[in-house]
Amino acid sequence: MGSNSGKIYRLLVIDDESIVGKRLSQIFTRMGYVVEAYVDPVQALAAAAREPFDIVVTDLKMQGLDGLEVLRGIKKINAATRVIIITGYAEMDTADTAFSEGVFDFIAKPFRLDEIKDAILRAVADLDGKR
Amino acid sequence: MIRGKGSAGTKQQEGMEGFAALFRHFRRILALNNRILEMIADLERALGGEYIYDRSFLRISVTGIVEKGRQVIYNLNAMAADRYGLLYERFTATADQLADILAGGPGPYGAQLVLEWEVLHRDLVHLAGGKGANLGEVFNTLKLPTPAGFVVSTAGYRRFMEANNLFARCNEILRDFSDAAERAGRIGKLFAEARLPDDLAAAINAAVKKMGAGPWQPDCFAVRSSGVGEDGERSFAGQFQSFLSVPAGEIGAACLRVMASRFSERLLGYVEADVSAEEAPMAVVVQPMVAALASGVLYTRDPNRPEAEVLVISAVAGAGETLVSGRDSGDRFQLSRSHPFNPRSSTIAVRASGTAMDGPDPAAPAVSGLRRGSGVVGLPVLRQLAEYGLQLEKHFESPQDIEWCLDSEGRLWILQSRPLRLRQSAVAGTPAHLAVELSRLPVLMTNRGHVCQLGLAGGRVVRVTDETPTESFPVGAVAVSRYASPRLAGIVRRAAAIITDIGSPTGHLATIAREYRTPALFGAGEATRLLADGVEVMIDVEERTVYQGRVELPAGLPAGNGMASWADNLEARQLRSLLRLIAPLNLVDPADPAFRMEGCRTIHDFLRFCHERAVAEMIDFHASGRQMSGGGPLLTADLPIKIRLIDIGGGLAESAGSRVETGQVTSRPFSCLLRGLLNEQAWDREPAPFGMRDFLSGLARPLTMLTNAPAYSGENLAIIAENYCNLSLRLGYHFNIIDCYLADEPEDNYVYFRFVGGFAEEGKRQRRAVMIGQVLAGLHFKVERKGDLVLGKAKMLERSHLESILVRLGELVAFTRQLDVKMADDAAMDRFFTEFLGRIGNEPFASGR
Repeated sequence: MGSNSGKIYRLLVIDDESIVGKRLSQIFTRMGYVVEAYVDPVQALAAAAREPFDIVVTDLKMQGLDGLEVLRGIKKINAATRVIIITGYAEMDTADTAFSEGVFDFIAKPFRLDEIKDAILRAVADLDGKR
Repeated sequence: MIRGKGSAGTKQQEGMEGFAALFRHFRRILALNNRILEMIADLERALGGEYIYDRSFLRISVTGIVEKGRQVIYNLNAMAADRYGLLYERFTATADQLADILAGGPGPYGAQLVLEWEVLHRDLVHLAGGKGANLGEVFNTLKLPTPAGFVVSTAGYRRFMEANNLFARCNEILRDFSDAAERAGRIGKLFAEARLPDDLAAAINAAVKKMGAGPWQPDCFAVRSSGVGEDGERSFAGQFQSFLSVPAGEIGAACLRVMASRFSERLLGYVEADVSAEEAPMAVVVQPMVAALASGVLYTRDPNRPEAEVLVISAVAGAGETLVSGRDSGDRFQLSRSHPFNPRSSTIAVRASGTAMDGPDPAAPAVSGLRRGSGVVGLPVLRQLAEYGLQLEKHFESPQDIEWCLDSEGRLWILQSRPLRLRQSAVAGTPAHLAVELSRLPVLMTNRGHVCQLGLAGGRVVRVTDETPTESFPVGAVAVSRYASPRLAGIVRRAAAIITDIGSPTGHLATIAREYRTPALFGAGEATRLLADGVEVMIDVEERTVYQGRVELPAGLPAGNGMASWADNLEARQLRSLLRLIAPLNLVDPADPAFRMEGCRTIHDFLRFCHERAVAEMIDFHASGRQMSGGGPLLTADLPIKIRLIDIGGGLAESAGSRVETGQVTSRPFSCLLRGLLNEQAWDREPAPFGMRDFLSGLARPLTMLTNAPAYSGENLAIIAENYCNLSLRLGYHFNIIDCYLADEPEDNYVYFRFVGGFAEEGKRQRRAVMIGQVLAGLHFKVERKGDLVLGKAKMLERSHLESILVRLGELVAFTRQLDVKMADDAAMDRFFTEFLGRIGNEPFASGR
């Protein structure tokens, strides 16, 4: 299930509200991916530094480190990682900045399960295509 | 926006402006109302599990709802000269409770020392403890029989602890001593000297007095611990103390001892050493004791073989203390987990003479496969228990350990339901494994429908309609229906899952499915065609897919293995607590005396009340004698009457001048009425046969004396806007008002019809009123009739339905113009009624809601 190329992708979820990480872990695990979830973006980046992730789903507004900083940190570790930013305060200027810095997609909370699944599947297809 | 022309008097001009202002507030209320209902629907959908949300979504949504709700009240008061000022105060109380929940507070019952049975539900664990919250859910949501008592809340517990300074003194002991026995001994002495504070003792006594009648043992109560965290992730099950057969006079003392068991040696040995006295607070459940003929325990899975599709029931004669305490193993039955719950095996206990039941047993065993005559309960009781067990398992989303008893009338009672702990299989049941298992099954339906309540379930397809009797639906089957009719509520409670062809996640039945945690997929289009009756299926709502066949769902689902139920996390609890103060509608019937400001509890109540009163303000404006005619253009149409028009916004095309063609009318409701009025068939142009009696009767009744008739300017007048119309007509000496709002949202739409007076003798006028009442009732109006005054109201109508009603009303008005004069007797009335139906065609009379 994980991908067409047979590789099992590693996903990282970062949101300072634990509910989001819990639910997304549940859903991504069911889709066949290996998932780690963090409420602390600093710890999440440390985990990514130990072993890079293929796809990162991160909240935008967080204590400590915001989603754009996470994006930069992740891209520094592995430029190929696809980063999806989720936020309750979708503002177009933030989205513009994010896209210019290589974000894969931008999703506003609350979102439906199929929206995030769709974004993940597109990220996977993108990764498969470039591999 | 007022387009009335000419030289209207100042008074009329003022009236006109007053009405325009009224209408502005009214439209504002409608717009706010819609927006709030949408926001509520979004919150309810989030509860179904389809959406990922966070607390800031809850905060922003609820803050928005409250802010808009306040504006609704403001606008109503602006319409009604501040006659509804009390609403602000009451609304603020509800808003404060919402703010408290958003801030993580205990909610509306936070300060109550004692909680009534009727207020308990699953999200009150912090106040009622695990047992109290669960029993509340069993009683109030599932409506299963459980002896109704009360709960001494954690607030009551704190009140007791603080009144005796016990938190501080216990913490001292916990700090100074580490041995559990030493701690318990010292704390035990403190509790032995402690007294219930007067207010708590009084609250307990009052609650004991309020307990209702039932098949109870006289003066005999169960007083049980209901810890916060008990039965939860760190199970304290059996660690706290419970007392049975407590007389009323000793309930307070028993409560005190149960609270003391929070600091028993056993418990202090069980919890981590650094847990302070304030943590793990203790509520107490007090219930009347059932005079039990038999009692026992039901496990919805076999703890020894969790994967087997069986339920396990044990039973003993009398009250169940011996069984629960492990002194008597009792009779033991295994039943299939599928309807009709056939027995798989039974072991009847050998018992000393006198223990077995004597005399006629209402639940006597009667079915082959079980040993006759010797079991404590019969198969019908076991099957009923199995039904209850599966409903409880679905509702609490995990296998259950249920204590039950049977009274002398043969009625079953649920005494307790808590999670059954089972060993977990390591591989089977992981989400990924389950997905692989499912993918091997043939797909019957996929990518269809809207998620209403997330979940994974299996069962046999049973086709239902809203005629299907609830009790005939096999518990644990998968219901498949054409429509998501609210009448299926009972079936949704019994079903493992429900799928419909037509239906929406914002409808009433979707709310019901979420309440009962029944996986639900609505609007699947062709479910009734694709899913044949009797087929075994698995439904995965998240994937919107139905498979043929069965996959073993892990017994512990969804408690373990990363399938943790989203429905019991903090955010979902908070959302449900918020929705309880927002979504339920208590004010249903405007005719009910409880339909008043004081009756508003939820946000929905406030909206409903304000909408109802706003409509009344609109109607009353015309009935109040404030006038506004004289200014507007005349309608040019092939009608035997003249109608003057006043446009208050969007009712007429820009091109309209001092005379208006029917094609220039842009008011939606007025266009519909005109279509009816212009129906040639309906007008009766022959002069009415006029008797001397009618003439005298007419002279004796000056218009001003017509019952409740509004002051009348002597002209036919239509006040119109794009979505609004108020038509005042004088036809054949009777007076007729139609007031209507017609837009896309059924919630907004209403029509009001008022008909009074006439120039004929009383008998005829009354007969005509009866006939009009019948026609209106046929058009689904709520009708009131006093003499020859007819009032009809209809609300919440689909746009197309209301349009056809308005056309019929136009025809009715035309048809009744001189009817009172013609209507000599009952036979004549029937004839006219039939004739009217014949003339206008009767399609809307047959259809409707």
